[in-house]
Amino acid sequence: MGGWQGSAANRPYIDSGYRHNGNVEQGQKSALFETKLKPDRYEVRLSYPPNRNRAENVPVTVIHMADSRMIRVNQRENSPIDGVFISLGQFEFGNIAKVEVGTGETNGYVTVDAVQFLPVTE
Amino acid sequence: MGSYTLDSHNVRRYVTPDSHVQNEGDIGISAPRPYEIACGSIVPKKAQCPNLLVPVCVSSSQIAFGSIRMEPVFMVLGQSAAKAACLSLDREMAVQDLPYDVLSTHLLTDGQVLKMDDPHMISSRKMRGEVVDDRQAKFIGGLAGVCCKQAIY
Repeated sequence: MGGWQGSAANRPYIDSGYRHNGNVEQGQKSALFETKLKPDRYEVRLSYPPNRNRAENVPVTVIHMADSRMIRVNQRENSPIDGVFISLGQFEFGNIAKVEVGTGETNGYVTVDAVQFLPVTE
Repeated sequence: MGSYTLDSHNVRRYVTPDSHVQNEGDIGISAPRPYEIACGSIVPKKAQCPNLLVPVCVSSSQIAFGSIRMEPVFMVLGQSAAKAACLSLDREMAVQDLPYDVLSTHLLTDGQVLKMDDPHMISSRKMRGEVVDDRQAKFIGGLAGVCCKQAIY
């Protein structure tokens, strides 16, 4: 069964539900979160509803300015920030911010729910 | 209110050109949370029939009816229709002329649930910074939300 499938079976999630990759076709699917931003430094956070059937090694790539960094996220573990988000780090962004959630070589379900760009106040 | 999955069963079974049997016409997609059923969906137009309430054959799409069609929902719609009928009789008016405020006040007094906020929902609108939900994300590798009677994950 292909595609990304909608679900609301596990919590927490932002707004109405989330999607998962069905734990099949690893590497063929990805999800891109893109937004316009005021150029500045932001903390990037990813939310996901954890479960024991999730991947421990979800490749999440933050694309900022002309650079990108890949972070592996363990979606089996509870999200450390308020039980909702995990921080992917702080990044300098231009007008556009992109975060890509991949599925390559993952060892369980990959879920995507939401990405938060939080301005870093010095 | 209703809450059940958008569930319509197979329409037919056919044999494909390469001799496999295939079911066709099934859909099963869960509703993310309970939803409201409009009062107007059980009230026909006055010009068509001034004193009729239709608590089962409601005005809805086939897909929506695949979720509405549950006994508890019919019980709720039946209670609502009966209350509307009694109030209209008491006031000697057509069911279409009964103000919704009057009906909803009585239904709430009787303990019916007319709205339900999801206590678990975390709203992106209340968050600082910029939040991009999966509804705004771009999905590569197949259509989002396409599924058919699967276990939920």
